[in-house]
Amino acid sequence: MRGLPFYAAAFGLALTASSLAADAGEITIVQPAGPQTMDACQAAVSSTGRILKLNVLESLTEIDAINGGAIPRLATSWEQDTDGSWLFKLRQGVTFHDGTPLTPEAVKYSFERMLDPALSCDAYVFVFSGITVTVEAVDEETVRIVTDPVQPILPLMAEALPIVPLSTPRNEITRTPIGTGPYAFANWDTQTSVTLEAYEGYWGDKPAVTKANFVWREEASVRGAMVDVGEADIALSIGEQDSRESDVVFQSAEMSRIKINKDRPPFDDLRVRQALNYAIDRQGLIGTLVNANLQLANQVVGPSVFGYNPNLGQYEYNVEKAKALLDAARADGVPVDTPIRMISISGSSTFSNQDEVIEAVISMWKQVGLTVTNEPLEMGLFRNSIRRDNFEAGRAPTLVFSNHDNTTGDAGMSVSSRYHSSNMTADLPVGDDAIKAMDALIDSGMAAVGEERRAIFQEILRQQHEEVVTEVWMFQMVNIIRVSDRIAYEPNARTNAVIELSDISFK
Amino acid sequence: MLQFILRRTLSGALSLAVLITLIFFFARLSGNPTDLYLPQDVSEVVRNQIAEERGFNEPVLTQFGKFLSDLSRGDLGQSLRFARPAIDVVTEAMPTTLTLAALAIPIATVLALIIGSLAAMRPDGVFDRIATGTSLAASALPDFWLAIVGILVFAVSLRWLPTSGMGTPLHWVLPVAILVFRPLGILVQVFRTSMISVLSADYIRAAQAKGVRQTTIVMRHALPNAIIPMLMVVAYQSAGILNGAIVIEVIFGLPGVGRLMLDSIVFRDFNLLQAVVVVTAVAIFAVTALADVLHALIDPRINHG
Amino acid sequence: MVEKNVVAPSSQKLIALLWFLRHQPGVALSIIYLVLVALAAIFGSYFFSESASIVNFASRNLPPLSLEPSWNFILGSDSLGRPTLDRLLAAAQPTVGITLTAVAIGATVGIGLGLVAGMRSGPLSAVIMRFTDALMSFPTLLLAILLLYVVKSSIGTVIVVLAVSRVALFIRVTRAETMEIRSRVYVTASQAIGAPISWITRVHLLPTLMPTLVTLLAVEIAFTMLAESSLSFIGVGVQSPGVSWGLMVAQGRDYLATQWWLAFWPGLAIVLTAMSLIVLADWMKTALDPRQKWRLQSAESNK
Repeated sequence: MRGLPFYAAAFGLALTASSLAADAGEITIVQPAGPQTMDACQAAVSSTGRILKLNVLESLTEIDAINGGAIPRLATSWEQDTDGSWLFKLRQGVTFHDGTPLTPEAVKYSFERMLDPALSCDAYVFVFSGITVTVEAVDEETVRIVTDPVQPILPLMAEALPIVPLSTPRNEITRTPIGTGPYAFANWDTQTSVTLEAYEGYWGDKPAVTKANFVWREEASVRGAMVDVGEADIALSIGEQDSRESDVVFQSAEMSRIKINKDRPPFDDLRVRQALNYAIDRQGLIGTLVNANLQLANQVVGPSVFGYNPNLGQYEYNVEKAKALLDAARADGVPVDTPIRMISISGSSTFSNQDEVIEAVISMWKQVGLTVTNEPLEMGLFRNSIRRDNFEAGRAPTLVFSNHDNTTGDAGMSVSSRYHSSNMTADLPVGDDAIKAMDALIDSGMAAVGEERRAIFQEILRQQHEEVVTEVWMFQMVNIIRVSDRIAYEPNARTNAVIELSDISFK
Repeated sequence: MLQFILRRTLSGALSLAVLITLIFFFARLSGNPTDLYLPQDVSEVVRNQIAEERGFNEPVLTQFGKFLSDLSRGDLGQSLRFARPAIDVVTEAMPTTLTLAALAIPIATVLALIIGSLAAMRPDGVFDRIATGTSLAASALPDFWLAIVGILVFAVSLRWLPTSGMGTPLHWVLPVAILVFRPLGILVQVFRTSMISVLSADYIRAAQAKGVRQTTIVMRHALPNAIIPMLMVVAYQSAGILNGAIVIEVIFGLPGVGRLMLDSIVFRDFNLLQAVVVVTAVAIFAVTALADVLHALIDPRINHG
Repeated sequence: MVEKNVVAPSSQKLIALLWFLRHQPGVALSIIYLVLVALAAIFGSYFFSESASIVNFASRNLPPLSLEPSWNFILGSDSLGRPTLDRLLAAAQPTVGITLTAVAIGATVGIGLGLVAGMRSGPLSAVIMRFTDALMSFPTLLLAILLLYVVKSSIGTVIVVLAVSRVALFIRVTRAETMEIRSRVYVTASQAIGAPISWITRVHLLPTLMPTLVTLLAVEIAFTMLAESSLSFIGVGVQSPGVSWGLMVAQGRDYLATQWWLAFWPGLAIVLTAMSLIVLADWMKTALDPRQKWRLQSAESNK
């Protein structure tokens, strides 16, 4: 009797055959989480942005993934006028996927829509809040953007604001995005996949990939398996345990760090903060617990970010030094032996084996006589408890295991959000005067441009590392992706936030 | 009987009201979603402005009043995360979970009937020992473990099945198989026990003495009697299948209500949580009420309040 | 018969045990396994919690059957070089402790409310039942997560949360059984002659309910253990540096393709515990045959 197994097997063969016969120019990318929206408005969320940015949607500028800074995209050039406003020259011959041309009116419309507080788009929330922006057409191919206050890095900020046609609904979130990119949005299949197809009328080079499907799976092992069996061509965020020789490892923009809340003793003592750093054998963790390609970190941003300081040293692993510093602090009456708590996000994906990394770090601190207990918190609770206005009086001295991701390419976003007292989750120096001085330094950096800007950011990062010792620097993170044999793809520091399909070619 | 059905529906509606109220307040106790939706780097001004706009700063009782008045108009509100009507998101996710349940429950029931009958024919025999042992072991395995091992074995090593996702009938095999295990162990136990007790009843003994074939006895006489307690358990297991569905949907990347419920709690998408609770609870009440009505029809002695 | 009297009491017990092993091997093995678990739960964390937490990269990722550097690596070690066997033994106490406490609380509250709802049919009973139905129509896993988001996650709250999520079933079963027993002739008769409810509960109800409840308890302990593991999978529940079998399985899931033993041993421990409990419960149900039980009770109430 030919039973169910026979038909199942026959069906399986048919299925395999059909998947092999898939369109030669078609690829599938599997990411950890699915998109919630498909609007340019939410392109900063990686699950949405990875699909839309630079594929469907383009902005006036894009970020140089290697050197930082802005490079031309829909604008071919730009200059700052004497009054502080910016003039952008628009690329000619560009059309939206709905057939309409790219005009100064469309740019104006995009800015107005995206910066409308009522829509609370990412570009507004992340980048433009507190800034008044007016866009005016100078002629057929030039727009003037006036900001109050004057923005010295407006070209870089413009990257966060995709340009959409006038047909995009003004006051609501759309589920069928239209842009000027090399790919047109084709379909969003009720939460299972998003399909993009190459846009015939694209202004730039024709990409090799003609059709791309984005799917999502939460488990890293499942994502990897999908590439192994040919169900996907690129699997993002492969776990450290599952990674193998052939996987592609690349530097991401993410920095792992342990924040030191200096509001409670013994962390208000500089020696204790230094000891925390000296006590950890980071080099020993590399290749054993964490990826062999990780680099040690010594500041909050990575080398690809404008303002990165290449001249900073490292706190070398030195148990004796750590013990000596703690002994000295203890002799001065600093309560070094107070139980310390470290909070972390439970199930966070910074390290695929976060629990083990944390336990290893805690056991190293134990060797120099510090008692630290890990307290994993669910995301919501975690976000609440790192805010200064929620700090409880009399709480235990607290460390925060966290990470920082800068995909803007400019250190300004990092230093102002991490070290400026206007942010409720920032790490502040000890003492009002030190806080004020740091705030002033950051403010001056944010107002500066060019080499001056770079120098100030580098100075901030140097002070944080050498004088404030504001945190425990861990690693510059890497990301592991698995790529199938049939395609060639070179990831870059922004791959976490953007996957430019045009970069993919077939072997 | 009509009165009983009416009473059952009324009590179901009351329980639903209790559930919704509990969920509403517990969800709000679990924290303000503003921090989850905004990056840590966002300025305090924007943070407050958005909390204000979304109504998170209003007193909880005001929010509850608004929720009730919206609900009375059949409006379950916008999902915060999906930026569209919550009910639309739920109705899109329903078919996936219903398919999972509609495949898993009957398969588990039929398998339990077969294994249970065979086991009960010779209690403590070799088949009985092996069958009950295996079904128990299977139902005692953590389902996420089973799911990942299943993918590694059947999709990666043997390449018989797709790893995950949807699209073809083959995609359903692994998730449904794993969803079947948990209820199967219990159903086999329940059915085996009731089958044994029926088989030891006097009239069956008499039939055996008369030389009627064992298979005939099991199929014709014992099965119909032993199936009643089993159906009750099946009804309650169907309600419980959502638990398993959550884990299965997460691992296999299936867009069902289980994972929607999970995400709506994790991301504090209150409107979505309320919508999904209303929809699933109504479905579950319908199933259990149906089971109670059937039970009452069969066994009129029992008075369900 | 004569021989039997000669045999010393201790070897008499041994013979009984051997008889038991021969005729009820499943039950005997279950009891032995559960005794081992109990011993591990009582002494495990005392002897092994130290060795289970020492990080040593030299001995990391050892496969099972490793006798180097020492015998306790027989079940392998994890990526921090901690021996799996020691971790398993150290985790027995929290696992068993959490599960038993949760079930005990859930059962006490559930049986109590179930008795009330079953004995009286008034507004109180209706309120209890509406709450029960409401609880039962919400997935227990999600209920647990929601509660754990409201209160801060700790061992204590995990216990309470697991207890709350099991209460509804105890209420329902107890009530259904109570109502069924209440309709029996001898109970109705006692009520008719004016016996107080507490007396009826003590003398008639609880003894008759026992077999059902004992079975339910055993199964619930098994499923609570599984629920605890699911909580760890979702990322709430017991958290590192705490340790439990469920957490070990959940943490090991990332290593299933490479170091399968990390999730295998704790998974096996859970499965064996669950199975032993269910086998034992099944046997006790038969041993506590309701008919004999009934005879005993009638003899008692005749006194």
